[in-house]
Amino acid sequence: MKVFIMFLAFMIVFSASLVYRNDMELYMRMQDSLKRLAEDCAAGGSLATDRDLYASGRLCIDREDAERISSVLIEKAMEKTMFSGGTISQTVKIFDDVKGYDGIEGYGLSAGRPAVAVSLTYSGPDIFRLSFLKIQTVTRTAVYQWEY
Amino acid sequence: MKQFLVLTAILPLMLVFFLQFAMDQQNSARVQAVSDLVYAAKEEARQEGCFNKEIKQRLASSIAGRLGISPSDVVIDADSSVKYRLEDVSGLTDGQLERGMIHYRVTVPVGRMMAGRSLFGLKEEGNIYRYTIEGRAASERLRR
Repeated sequence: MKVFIMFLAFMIVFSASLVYRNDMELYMRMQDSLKRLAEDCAAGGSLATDRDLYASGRLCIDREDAERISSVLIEKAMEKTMFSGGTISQTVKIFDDVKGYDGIEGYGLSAGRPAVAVSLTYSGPDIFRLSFLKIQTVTRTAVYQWEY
Repeated sequence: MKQFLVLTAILPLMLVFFLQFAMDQQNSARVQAVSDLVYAAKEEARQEGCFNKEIKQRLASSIAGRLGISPSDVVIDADSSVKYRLEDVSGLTDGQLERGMIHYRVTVPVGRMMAGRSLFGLKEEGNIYRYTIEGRAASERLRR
């Protein structure tokens, strides 16, 4: 009986550890996927140049178009992936000749070339199944700057 | 003697947990490697406008080399016709916006899913962990 009780105790501890390990793996995958999605959104958004301002010699990114491209990428990403059970909200920050470059140093970049910073926040059901852990949001940021 | 018999019954079950931990760790490293390789291929595809034959072949062989599997086991379902950078997106519908986006889907058999499958009566072919990476990226290729 003693061995059986010990077996049960070990079984519970090992099972909990396995569940925690798999949930942590999912959490890491989510962070990785969200980071890559943010990079795609930033890279896609940076292509939305304002042609009228470009014609007048200024490098500028159209905020509305950049946000639309980013939204479409997010929408598509949510269709079949691990994000499908929740929602993703975005914050798009644009640095260019018209909007200025204030705060671009915070992203480790230098002023002078247009850049798009996209911050994505995923909110959904609790990622961890163990009751004492509760993480429902994941936030990742990516920035894309023109090179020329 | 009774305790010894109980121990022989439960010891294999306990060992499965340790094997499972090791296998999960290994699968995790392999998934990360696949993810990195797909990311690099996607960046190339953005420049080219699609996943052309060379990119697909290079991706399949690099994944196969890293995981020790056959390149034919790597399933790449990606746009192979060139997509061009959208010059002016204002006025385009969401569906039209997709014209400038490259879709890709890569499925790789990363490894086994469960350790000690025979203990639980699982078949080998049903015990394969297939990892799929799917996404879209905006093409940067310009029309000439």
